[in-house]
Amino acid sequence: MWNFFKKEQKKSNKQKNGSKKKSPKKTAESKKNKLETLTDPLDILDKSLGQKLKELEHNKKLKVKAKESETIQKQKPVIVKAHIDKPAPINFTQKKEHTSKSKTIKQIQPDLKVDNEVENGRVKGQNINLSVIKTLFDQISNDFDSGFIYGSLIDLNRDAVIYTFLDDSYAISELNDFIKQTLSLAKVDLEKERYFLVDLEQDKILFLMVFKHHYFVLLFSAKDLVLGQVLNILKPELIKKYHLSLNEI
Amino acid sequence: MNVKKLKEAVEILKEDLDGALMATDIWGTGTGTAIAGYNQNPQATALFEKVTDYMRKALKGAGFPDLKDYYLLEMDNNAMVLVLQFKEEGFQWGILVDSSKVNLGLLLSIAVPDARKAFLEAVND
Repeated sequence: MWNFFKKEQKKSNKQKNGSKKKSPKKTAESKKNKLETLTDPLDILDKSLGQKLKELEHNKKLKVKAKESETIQKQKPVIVKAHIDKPAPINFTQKKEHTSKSKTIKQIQPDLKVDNEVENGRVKGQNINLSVIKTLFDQISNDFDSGFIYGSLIDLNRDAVIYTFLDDSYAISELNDFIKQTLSLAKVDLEKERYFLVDLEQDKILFLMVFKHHYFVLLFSAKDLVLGQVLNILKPELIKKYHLSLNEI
Repeated sequence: MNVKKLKEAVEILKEDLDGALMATDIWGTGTGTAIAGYNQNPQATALFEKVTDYMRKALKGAGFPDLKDYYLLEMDNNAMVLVLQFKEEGFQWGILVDSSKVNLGLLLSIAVPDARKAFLEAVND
């Protein structure tokens, strides 16, 4: 009985172990399958191709990126050039820009008193409407752009600066003497306005518009200047606005 | 200096200005004496010698750059004076024109360059 029981127990144990352990047949099959999955040439090829494709795609992306950056780099000077070519916005209230441009000219402290004592918008004792003169100079600056370097309106008889456009100051009294002497020598009648046009070194043109009691001093850059514009457009405008500032129109 | 070519230079100016030339004088800077001209006026020569001198002093004193190739002055009765400068050669050329008969474009762009070229040829010959 005990032996039978032992036999039966051994049998059941064997059965238990059998259920726990894989059957040798099954293990071999699974091993075979595993081997097949690892060694299947198509699978390997597929895997390596996939990897290759991934690499290629990555390389392609890198190349595209490099090309993009290259084109950006190539385009950069064009962008910069476009900025240079684009005319800078002109702000005529920024007097410093003009001042620096004309620094090549020797600068001398003003020797004339600035007669700008204003009463009711007019220069005291001159009866000149300053806002008309200011508008005129702004207009010249707009029309001639950076070609307009310096301008002022001077009282010929009293050697006084009435209005100066831009910060540069020249010893204008020297011009006063020259104008007076020349006009008296040449016996020029100032009942009608006269002008002097002087070609200067450093590519500058000096335009003096002389009236009976006042004169305009205008300095231009000869590079950007069309003389016809000075004599046919600016000159009549100066005459008109000057008389307007005196309320003669 | 080739005097014949100098006279030719004056003739070229006369032709270019086509009746608008009233008078002209070429003189030595510093001396104020003319060496060639048309309807010459020694007083005008002396006067403009002085004017140029005044102008150069005034420009220097005022702080402006020096006089370069020419200056132009509007006078009475449609008269206009153009004074050409030949600084290296030491000469000036005064030209009096009737501004109603010639435009400034023709004067400055055609007549003056032709005259200047002809004068420099005469001086350097």
